[in-house]
Amino acid sequence: MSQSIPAVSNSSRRIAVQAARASFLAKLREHVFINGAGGYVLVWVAFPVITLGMLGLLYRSRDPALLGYAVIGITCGAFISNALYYVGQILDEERLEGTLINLFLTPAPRLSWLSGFAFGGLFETLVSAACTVLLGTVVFGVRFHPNIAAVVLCFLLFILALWGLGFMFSALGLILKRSNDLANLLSSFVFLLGGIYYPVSALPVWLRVPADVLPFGVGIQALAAASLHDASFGTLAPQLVRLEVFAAVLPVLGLLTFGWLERKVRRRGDLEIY
Amino acid sequence: MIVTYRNPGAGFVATLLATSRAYLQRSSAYLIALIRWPLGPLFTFATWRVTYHAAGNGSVEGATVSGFLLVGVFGLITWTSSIWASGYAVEYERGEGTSASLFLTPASRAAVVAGYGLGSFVWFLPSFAALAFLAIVTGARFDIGDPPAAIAATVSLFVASLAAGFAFSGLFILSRKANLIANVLQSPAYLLSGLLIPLSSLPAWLRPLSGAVPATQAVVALRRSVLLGASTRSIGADVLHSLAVSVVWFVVGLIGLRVVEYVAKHTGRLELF
Amino acid sequence: MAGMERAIDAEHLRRVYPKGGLFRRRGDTVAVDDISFHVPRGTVFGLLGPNGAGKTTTIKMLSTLLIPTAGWARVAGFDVVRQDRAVRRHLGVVLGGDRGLYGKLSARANLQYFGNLYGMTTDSIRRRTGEMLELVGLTERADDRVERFSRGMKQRLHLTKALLHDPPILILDEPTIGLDPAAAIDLRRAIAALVPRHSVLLTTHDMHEADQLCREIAIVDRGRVVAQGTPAELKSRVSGARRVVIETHETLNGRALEVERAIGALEPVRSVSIRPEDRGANLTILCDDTARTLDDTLSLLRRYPATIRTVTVIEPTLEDVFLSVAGRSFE
Ligand SMILES: Nc1ncnc2c1ncn2[C@@H]1O[C@H](COP(=O)(O)OP(=O)(O)OP(=O)(O)O)[C@@H](O)[C@H]1O
Ligand SMILES: [Mg+2]
Repeated sequence: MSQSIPAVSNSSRRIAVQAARASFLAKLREHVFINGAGGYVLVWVAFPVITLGMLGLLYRSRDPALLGYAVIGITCGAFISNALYYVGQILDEERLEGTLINLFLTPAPRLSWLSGFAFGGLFETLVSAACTVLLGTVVFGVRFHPNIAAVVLCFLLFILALWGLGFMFSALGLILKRSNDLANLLSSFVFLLGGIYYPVSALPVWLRVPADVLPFGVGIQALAAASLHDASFGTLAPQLVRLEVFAAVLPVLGLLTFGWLERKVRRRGDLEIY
Repeated sequence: MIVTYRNPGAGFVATLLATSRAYLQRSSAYLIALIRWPLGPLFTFATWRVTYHAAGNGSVEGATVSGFLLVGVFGLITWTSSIWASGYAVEYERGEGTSASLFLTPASRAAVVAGYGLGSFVWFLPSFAALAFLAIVTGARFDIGDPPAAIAATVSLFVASLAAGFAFSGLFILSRKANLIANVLQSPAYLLSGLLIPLSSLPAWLRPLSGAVPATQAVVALRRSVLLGASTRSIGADVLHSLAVSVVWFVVGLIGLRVVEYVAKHTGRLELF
Repeated sequence: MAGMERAIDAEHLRRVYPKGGLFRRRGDTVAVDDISFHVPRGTVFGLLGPNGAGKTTTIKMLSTLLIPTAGWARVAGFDVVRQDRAVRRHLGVVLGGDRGLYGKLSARANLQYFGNLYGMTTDSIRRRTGEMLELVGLTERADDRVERFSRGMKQRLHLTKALLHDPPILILDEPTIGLDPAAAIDLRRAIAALVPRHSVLLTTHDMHEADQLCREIAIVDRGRVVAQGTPAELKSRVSGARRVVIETHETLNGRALEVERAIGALEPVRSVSIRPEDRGANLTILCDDTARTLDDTLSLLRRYPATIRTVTVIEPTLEDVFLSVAGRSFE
């Protein structure tokens, strides 16, 4: 058969891009339009906004500096949740609908559709981040003095590290099932150690050790310093270096984990069993 | 007689117990569920304990921070059991593809929903023991002046949670957005019921809303009776308030469940997922 | 129940599905247009029809999962809308497919759970579970999780679940779908053994299954009953489908016309045609009664030098019935 088959693109890069775009659009459409404007956006907005409300009520009378930190922490928390829930949980949803095998049957690399799903969920996260910041400034009077370049750099590195972690989460979900439970467990863990409600320095000393191995605390600290106090690259240097390491290592680690655990699941033969 | 049947009352209890047992069996098939449910409350407690520490609060409404949070997280557990288990019951069945099988049986729907809640609560019990330990280690002080008061408050908290579960389960069947609704409602409920932050810190315009959540006054009563040595008499009003709100939610839930099954059958969306 | 003549009555059932979401309506799908039938007690009754004919929808209305848009139905004498609990108590339903059982529970645990939901006592649950698992040959796998069962095993477990509370009436939606031929035969045998103790309503799009199992059949197409009766009655209504084809070794040279006339004169024969073939002749006879035609033709042919090579008798199938009433072929 030397005939070309025009309906199927044969370049693997094209497939990857196509798959990523299609899954991105599918998620975006599902969450923004099908569920009705406001559907899941509401969830993603309610949680951080209410949490900030509680923290604000608590911190207001005490330490206004903590309030500023909490605004940044919770905004970043929304991105962390996105990585945890979307990349991990979407696989579960597909499994429930019985379409997971079909995803795995396509020639597109896993990376492509997983990323598509993750970025498709980013819409809600952006809205909720905006609402959090708005609540912080309007209701609790937090003032920003940003170093824009530093904020952008920190944010990109932070997202890259999260993206890598997302793959690890989804790989874990592949093998443990019930990614919803997994995401909830991990997020309660992350909210304790990730320096989201409070800086890592507020933790007891023995908890700071595991906290420092995670990219969250350092990322949020750097972002808070850059956006609230106009911190220069010089003052941020120690945190930036660590963040860069996370951003370089985690995506690679995530992909390796995913490939490894996927093989394991295939060997075990329960890919489609929920 | 090939088959013998129970009388309706015994049937209700049997359905409730069988459902919670089946729920426990099914959930324990997942390693992650075994870990997650017991650990979740511990993490929540720890996170808020550190938050209060960071804010510099040594005591809340006259009680130790750890004691205050212990009761709050206990309330959180019962709330979670009712919303994420009872309320979610039919949604779980739909996910497993068994909702049609369930609706084909003559069993009481209320018993099934309550069975889920009971199962989930049992699931949490080990976690509660660990939680109490953690709270004591981190400085919780208790003052139970009148044990019947503590018992009354605890019972009212259970009733309140169950009522909320009932009220939500109907909504969840109809909407197919149970996850969404439960998630959206969860955070405001935490805020309004004063589980994690003192009610006194809420802005005045939120207080009435707060009173309409059945668990709110039950948690207040529990805190006062367990942490501050309050007597049955002094928490009586809180308990009654909570029970009254619960009854309203319960009735709304039962009606809702009926209406929803009817509507679901009319639109034919019962087992679509 | 004792005096009931009919297990199931369905009168002018109609079911319309709204298209679109809960609020936005975009026209309707008429799944069941107008369906009436009666299932006599102690018999197997079949709903036969192609995909999308409305069989499952009908069954869902009868089993209280769906409320009819119009019309009414009674199961075991109880109204499916107003007395839904009583209906459920008297009904065992197999909706089939891969779903409907708890994958994480063992077969036994599934049955025990459903036994409780049907209000059975602990004692009868234990006894019936054992008996039923034995009956369908799942005793050895009783404590395995259902998610590890094959399609056929699940289907048998579905049947077990439906029979657990010993309901007088059973409704089976495509019970043999997805089963291998041997398993399908086993299951059909099990279904046939249910009567007359139970009354059975089953749907299928397998003609042979319907023919074999059902005392009466309603053929459903596009939400309507297009024909109804016993398989024999239905088939007797199709004309022109009954044929006897005889091939001979001899060409009947020159006497073909004579033979044709002689056969044509036989009483049950409608028409006959004789065609010469490579080495011999082909006689195709359309008739009303194949047995008599065959008999008469064979004795007639003995008078000619005609040795018979093959004989084929073609009786009408339900497929022909469908073709004749629906004006198109099945599926
Ligand atoms: N929940 C639903 N919502 C909308 N339309 C539906 C729904 N269920 C069935 N239909 C439609 O109703 C019609 C009849 O479907 P039904 O499932 O009753 O057919 P069936 O005879 O059981 O077919 P099959 O042999 O394929 O099982 C079909 O056109 C189908 O698309
Ligand atoms: Mg069907």
